[in-house]
Amino acid sequence: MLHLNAPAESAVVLSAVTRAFESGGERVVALENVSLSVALSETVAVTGPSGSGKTSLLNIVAGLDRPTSGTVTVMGRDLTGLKERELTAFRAQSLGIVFQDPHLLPGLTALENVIAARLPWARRRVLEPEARKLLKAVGLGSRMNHPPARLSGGERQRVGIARALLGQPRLLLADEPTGNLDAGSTEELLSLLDELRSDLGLTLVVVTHDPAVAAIAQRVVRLSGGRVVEDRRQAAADRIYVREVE
Amino acid sequence: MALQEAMAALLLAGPSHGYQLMATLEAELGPLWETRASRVYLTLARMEREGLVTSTRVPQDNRPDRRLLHLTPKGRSVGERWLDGQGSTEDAVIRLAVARSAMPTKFGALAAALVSDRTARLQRLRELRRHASEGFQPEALEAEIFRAQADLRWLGQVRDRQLGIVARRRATRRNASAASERAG
Repeated sequence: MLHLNAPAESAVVLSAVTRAFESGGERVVALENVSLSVALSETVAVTGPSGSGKTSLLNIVAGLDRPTSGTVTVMGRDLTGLKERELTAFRAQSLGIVFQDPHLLPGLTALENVIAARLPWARRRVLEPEARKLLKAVGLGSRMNHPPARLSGGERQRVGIARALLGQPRLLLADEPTGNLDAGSTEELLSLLDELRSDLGLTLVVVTHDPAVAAIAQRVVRLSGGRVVEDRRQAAADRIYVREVE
Repeated sequence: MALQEAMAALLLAGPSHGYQLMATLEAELGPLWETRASRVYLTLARMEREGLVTSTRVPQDNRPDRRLLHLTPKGRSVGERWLDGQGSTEDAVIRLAVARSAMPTKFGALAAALVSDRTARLQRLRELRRHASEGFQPEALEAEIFRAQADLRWLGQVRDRQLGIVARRRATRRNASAASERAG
């Protein structure tokens, strides 16, 4: 049995989680009896078509939504009994979240955007050195004083990643992180995420409809109609065909 | 294209003659694909010599006799292995088209197997790209990565839509039979 604040053996444990709500007089079941766990340092892709429940699942893991039934334990903490303020503090201190659109504040620089989300919990002079390091790590060392309008889509998403990693969370959640990017920027961002995951010992959960993005994970969990329909490991091919120059 | 494997897999649906096999394949694949009758008949002749099929003569009124092809156990094994996704999977479009027509119960598993195969390839390509920095190597690998991305996205769509795709079967079969009848 897991206790509050116990050391995490798994990064995420969902146990019989259902999320249902009323919409237009009908009961909509976004997630149905979902049980799964994510080990520490694992990379898991949660995939499925639109409406399959992927974002609902991520919102519940992030504490942005509550299940209708079932339990949710993240980094050893049972989220189901926490109050809103406790959830907000937990997210700020224990998780990093990367969204499809990083929603950077236009009036702030890249550096200020990275720092802003954690300011209520720590002082700027404590956060700034780490924020600078993270922006360098994501390749924006020379652009940290630029406002979002002077950054490309890929660069803005890198700021989003740096912001998510400030405070050294052990768990990084990403919801369609490459959704707004072209093929080349997608590959650069995925490579960056994989590098950071390895360097920082992160657990990474990526929600995506795109199997090319899901391919970065060691394990893929596929949802359909709010249920888990597939949960399998995936690994790189040992060999690859070689083209002959004719 | 793995014509021999495609012919063996089409025959999993039951005995047929060469023209009907060609018509079925062309009907399934549409205007971007062509099968040459000469290649098909040479392939079927080779399959008979190699013991993958046997043939029987079917007399017809006012028309040349037809050769009805029957799959042997060896031929069945070739067809089934191909539809299980084994071997080089460069011919994903053909395999899925044939599965849809001849063995629709295998379509979903084949699509899933192809997604796994392409995922493994994309992971390997990305590993190679991480270590490539000389000459044109990064770009040469990126060309393959972008192709693999597109391939995987398409296969993901096919897998997700499998029920609707398989449900189209009957209309295509009637068209293939009608074309075959007109040709005699």
